[in-house]
Amino acid sequence: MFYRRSLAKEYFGTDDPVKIQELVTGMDKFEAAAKVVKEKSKGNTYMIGSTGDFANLFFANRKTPWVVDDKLVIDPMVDQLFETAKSFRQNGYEAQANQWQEGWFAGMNDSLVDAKGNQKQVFSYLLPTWGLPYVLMPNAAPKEVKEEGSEKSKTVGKDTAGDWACINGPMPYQWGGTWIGAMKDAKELDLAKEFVKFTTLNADTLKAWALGTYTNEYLRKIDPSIGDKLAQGPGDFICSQKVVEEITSKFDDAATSKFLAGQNSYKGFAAAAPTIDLKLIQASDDAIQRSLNDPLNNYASNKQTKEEAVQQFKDAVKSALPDIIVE
Amino acid sequence: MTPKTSGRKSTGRINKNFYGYLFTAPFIIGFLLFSLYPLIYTFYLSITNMTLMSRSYEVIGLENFTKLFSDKYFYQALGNTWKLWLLNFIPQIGIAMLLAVWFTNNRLKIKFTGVWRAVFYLPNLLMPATIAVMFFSFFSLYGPVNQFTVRAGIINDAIDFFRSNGWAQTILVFVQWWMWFGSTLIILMAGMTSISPTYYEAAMVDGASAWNMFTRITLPLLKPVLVYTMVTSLVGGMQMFDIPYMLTDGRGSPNGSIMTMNVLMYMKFASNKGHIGAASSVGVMIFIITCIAALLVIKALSEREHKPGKRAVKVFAKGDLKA
Repeated sequence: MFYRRSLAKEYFGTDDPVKIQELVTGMDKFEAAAKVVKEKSKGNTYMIGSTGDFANLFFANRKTPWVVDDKLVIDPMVDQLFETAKSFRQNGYEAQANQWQEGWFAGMNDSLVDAKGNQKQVFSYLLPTWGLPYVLMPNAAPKEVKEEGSEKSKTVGKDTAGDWACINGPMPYQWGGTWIGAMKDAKELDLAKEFVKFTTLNADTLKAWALGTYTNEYLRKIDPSIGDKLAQGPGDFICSQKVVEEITSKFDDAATSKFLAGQNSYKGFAAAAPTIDLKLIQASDDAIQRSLNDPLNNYASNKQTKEEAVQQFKDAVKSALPDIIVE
Repeated sequence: MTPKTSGRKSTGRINKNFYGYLFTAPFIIGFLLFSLYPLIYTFYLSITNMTLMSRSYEVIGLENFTKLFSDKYFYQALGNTWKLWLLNFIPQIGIAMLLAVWFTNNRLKIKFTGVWRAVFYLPNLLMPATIAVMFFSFFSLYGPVNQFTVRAGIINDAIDFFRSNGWAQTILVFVQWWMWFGSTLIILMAGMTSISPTYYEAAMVDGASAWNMFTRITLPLLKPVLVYTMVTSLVGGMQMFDIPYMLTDGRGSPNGSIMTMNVLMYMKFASNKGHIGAASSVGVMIFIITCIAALLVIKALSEREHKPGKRAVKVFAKGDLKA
């Protein structure tokens, strides 16, 4: 979880990651903190940008996978997600934006303005390791926009870099990542194996990947035909505990740490990584979780009862995944 | 029309036939390869359980269809497709007809019709993806439409357009109309300008009103063009995909309100394993429904031709159109 230090000071009197973590450990406390944020900001700061932000937390803490013996199983966590989403929407704790859309990004550089012209702010974003270098950092800077009908351009939003902090958040969770696999009957299976080893287990590759060795110039020397923006910047979290431990200190002065006001996020990720459980992951997760979007929204906005929402969810799963039995 | 002499006919017949086959070959080959074969193959796929993720598959009979018929979203998608098509086609043909009459009218003498026609046609040249993204930004909760209307005092609170079924459908229908009425306009104008002005001159001499001329001359002689417009629009409408797919989350959100049959087909294909068989069964249903509907349209619009008097005008007009 990433939160705004300046806002934390304003509403909680401290921006210390340890103290803020205490305030948001568990969904109940997170909700209570959301109430404080709303009251102290007079409704001008939202705890989060969208209810979609915390959906992955609930998904990651289920006891059972979505599909057992080809049957759809709805874990109790889903019920909790429904209730939390409803509470956040009805109480105005979320900006009602959609993830990956303008309003959601606008909270990152303080350019969120509601229809009446009021400036709104977002206190926190629940993002995983890759959210820092790929989502938060690129969008925390002011954006330049051309003024209508003239060549003049104005900047929207402000630079919020250095005003962020990183903590574990309400619950441990993961949100995807990059996975490499080979087909069972692949022709060049040995070669594929070597490639998987090279990309995921080779310490040198992992170091180069995480530390930003693969600049455009570096890659261009290997293949001059690549595009001039293709590069791998530093900060991505990698899969080997050994390598992570080895390179953590290198991020003390990195851009990611400056962004977090000196906090080394890598250290935090390294500590949180062992608590991540991947046992529940199945191929159908994405389609099932997407099917939950509409029912969840309807229930949160009081457009449907829970029975109706759950029924709609089941119908949607049935439609999207013809070979899963839905009871 | 030049009279043909019988002598020419017999000497040229063999050669002409040969060239005929030769010249139609590219189309026939293309049709067989890229239309007929995929069509038959889709029918075959729809009775299998083929997925993208496994090499082996079995013929499972009509199981895909039984599942499809018990799928609530299929009926919703079917209803949506018709509703969305009709809601955009009726104003589309209506407004295109009105504009076409104005633009081709000799008495009104509207200036710069070419420019207007190009302006109205322009949205059709834009990429559907661009249009969908543009409208999504316009109408998003924090977007310009809300900002403008609230600040101008037209509405009190921002409307969450894309979380409301009715609004999402309205926006989609508007986009489809806006993209396609220019194209219909051009076809109708082409049809109208090819109607010989002598009819109108004669009617004017007889003192016919503009409405009479429209209903008694323009509409009957425009019928072949209308049939064409309607059938192509129907086929296109049944296959509506890009705008509804891109406008929201690719699942016809909110609540499947803009889920068309093609979006449903793609959803079945794009879910975890890539259910080619299940997706094909939707494709087959789209094909059957489109065929029946298109045949009904053609039949309904050509039935009145049996009246002998009108038919004579009709045949003459058809010849005129080609000339």
